Amino acid sequence: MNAKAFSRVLKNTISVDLEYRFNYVMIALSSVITIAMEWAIFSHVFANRDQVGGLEASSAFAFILYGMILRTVQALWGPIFTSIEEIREGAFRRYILQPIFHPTYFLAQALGNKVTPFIGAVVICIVYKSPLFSSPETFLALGNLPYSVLSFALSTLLLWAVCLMIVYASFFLDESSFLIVSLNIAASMLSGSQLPLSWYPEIVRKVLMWTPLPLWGDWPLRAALGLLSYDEQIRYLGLWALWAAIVFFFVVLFYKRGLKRYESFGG
Amino acid sequence: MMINYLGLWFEFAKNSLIRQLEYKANMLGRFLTETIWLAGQLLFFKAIFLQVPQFAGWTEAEIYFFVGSLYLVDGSFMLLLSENQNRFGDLVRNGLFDFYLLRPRSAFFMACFRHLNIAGFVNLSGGILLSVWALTRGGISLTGPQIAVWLLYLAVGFGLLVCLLMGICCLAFWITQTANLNWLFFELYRLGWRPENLYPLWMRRFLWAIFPAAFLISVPVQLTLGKLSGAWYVYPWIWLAVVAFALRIVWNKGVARYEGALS
Repeated sequence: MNAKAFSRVLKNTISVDLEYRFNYVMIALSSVITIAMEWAIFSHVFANRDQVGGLEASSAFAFILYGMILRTVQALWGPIFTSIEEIREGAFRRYILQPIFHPTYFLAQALGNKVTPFIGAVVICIVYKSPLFSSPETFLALGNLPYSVLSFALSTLLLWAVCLMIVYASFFLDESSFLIVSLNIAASMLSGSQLPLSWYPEIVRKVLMWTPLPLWGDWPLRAALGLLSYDEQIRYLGLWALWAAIVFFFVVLFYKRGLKRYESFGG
Repeated sequence: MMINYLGLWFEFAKNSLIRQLEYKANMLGRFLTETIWLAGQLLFFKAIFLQVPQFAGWTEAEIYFFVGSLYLVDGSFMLLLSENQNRFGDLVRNGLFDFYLLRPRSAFFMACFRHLNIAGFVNLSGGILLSVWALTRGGISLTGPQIAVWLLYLAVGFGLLVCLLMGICCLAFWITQTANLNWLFFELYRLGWRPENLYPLWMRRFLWAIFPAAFLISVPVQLTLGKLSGAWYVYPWIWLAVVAFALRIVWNKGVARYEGALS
């Protein structure tokens, strides 16, 4: 990885992103509305009950808050649509001509795009953990913090890798943006970051376990809440490695084959 | 006059369908996206009702009826308005709105209904199927007049949505970029995707009196199910009249102020 090029793209993306400050106001407002909507439902579900489907009432707000943070930080749109457009319109040739490897560029852009929401998320978590709020003791407790951070990072990277795979699929498909939208909707609604997976019907849970979806919600969320047993922690890491290998294989395959058949506009 | 516009709308529909069918994979993909969204919403409520028999006074069948109604309104919005609303800012900014003003038909009609988003059919048909399914599950029995109330008040809710949305779009006559305002609108509109009595009182007041998202789906469904009565039959009409009147003023002022790039 060309570190210099990476840091330059990262810095550039952050500065461009910061120019659109109003977007952050909208992200904050959107997050507040999401929390209000989910809390409204959870407060009725937990009315007069200490525990529902394995989730304690005292952890309900932490669940909603962290789920919202996960969805906000993981969801990636800008760099993906830019890359798909570049492939479609022929501008992708600059990655072939210049000594910059596209996955490096993509990762730098994705990180640059998410730096500010991530800093916001860290601040929210610190404030929520402060004595001002009665957050559950297990939520991001020191003992499970390293595993929580690891699961958060690995889960986000896997989602972005799937996005990259879809980007490279546009070498073969005329239009692949819909796959990104579908992926983000599925990751947001069915990964267990909106409602605990244990609440879903048995059959749905069984089907979801054959997909990487729980790795994007259930895994990092339950890790942060301290709800994963040691066995589950290991099992999820194994599952992540399996899916990461599959996705990595297809990213490389699509990239190499795609570049071979790519005829850029004006090329 | 009405038949004239209906005929024009069918021409627009045909034109949009042909254009979107040129990109078949894209269209199938959008259908897939909408289907995932519908399935996600249904599973969301299914998961909740596996934990509690009812919440906030809503039974499972009533909630599915609500979600069906939501798909109907949202599907109509997607089908008829979403594409036009996305393009309106650009039309005004680039001066292409000139072409709407020059045509011998209402520019407002053209701005609202020129393009169709065919993917909205998925939501619309999902809404019809889900509402019928919820009604046949038992627990809800609607009489003829109740069905009439449901359709009428959903239509009022949809009218209100059109007026609110076009009101936001019209700000493009004064502001260069309206994308963030559209975003803001959708965030507030999203609050109407749940029955408003789930929310705390201050939020309900906001949805009744400041941004009338409660009148788009929730109030029509509650009127149909007999959860609301009396003056609640009148409030949606008052809101519609006020917002339509305000839209008329904003539209006229905006068009008068508009200086097309080509003029």
